[in-house]
Amino acid sequence: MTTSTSSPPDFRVERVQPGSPQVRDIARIQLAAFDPFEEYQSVIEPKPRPALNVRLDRLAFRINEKLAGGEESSHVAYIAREGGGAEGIVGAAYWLRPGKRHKLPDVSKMDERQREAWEGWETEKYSKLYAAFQAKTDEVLEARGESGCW
Amino acid sequence: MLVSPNPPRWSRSIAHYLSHLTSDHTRRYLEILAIQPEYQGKRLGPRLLDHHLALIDDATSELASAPAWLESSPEAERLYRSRGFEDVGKVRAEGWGEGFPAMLRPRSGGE
Repeated sequence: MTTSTSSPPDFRVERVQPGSPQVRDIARIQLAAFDPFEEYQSVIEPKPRPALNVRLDRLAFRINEKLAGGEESSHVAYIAREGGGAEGIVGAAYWLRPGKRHKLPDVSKMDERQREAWEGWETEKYSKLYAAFQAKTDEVLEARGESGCW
Repeated sequence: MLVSPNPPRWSRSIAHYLSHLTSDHTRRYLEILAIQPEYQGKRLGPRLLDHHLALIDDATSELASAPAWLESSPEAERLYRSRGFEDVGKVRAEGWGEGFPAMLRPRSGGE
């Protein structure tokens, strides 16, 4: 974590660095926030799902890869941290620089750890959703004279 | 020179690639904004959102006036509208229900 900013008394916002322990907290928040939406989560992470710890490890690994500037570089993650005595991370946001067209990863080039982290996530249906997101981005931004995905 | 009003997709891709090389490309995409369920309703989502938008609105920032893009949940649309995001249509994909509202916060000073 490198950047800390002022905020109202009980919470503060911090920037997260790849590889920091907070990345796993971001994964935990993401799962907790999205798990109630089973309609979507079942597509993103189909059942049967492994134990929570394994899911957290996998998601944290993926987030770290993004933060570290892999395929989708320029990620920035922020967390809101509860102040006072026992601190905990309560929220997360991450931004990326759009433009890099989403592609299915080449699993054959991954090591075992990477492959395991991607398993169960990169489904065809999920990939189609990303394609739909990017087609919309192209359509809207190009109509406004901005470049779309490349 | 042959000029087509509808250049083929590969031609547009090359144009985008060249554009990437020559422009600052500081657009931002909000991929995830999530708050732990027990802390929802305490305006932490807006706080996290505002933290990054402040960089975009800061004329001295490297992100100054960058357009920002996101796909919203229906529940969060109002928040994003209140921060200058505009509805630009829905993204629909097979198997994803009603789809997701796409929202753009235009480059400031532009459009």
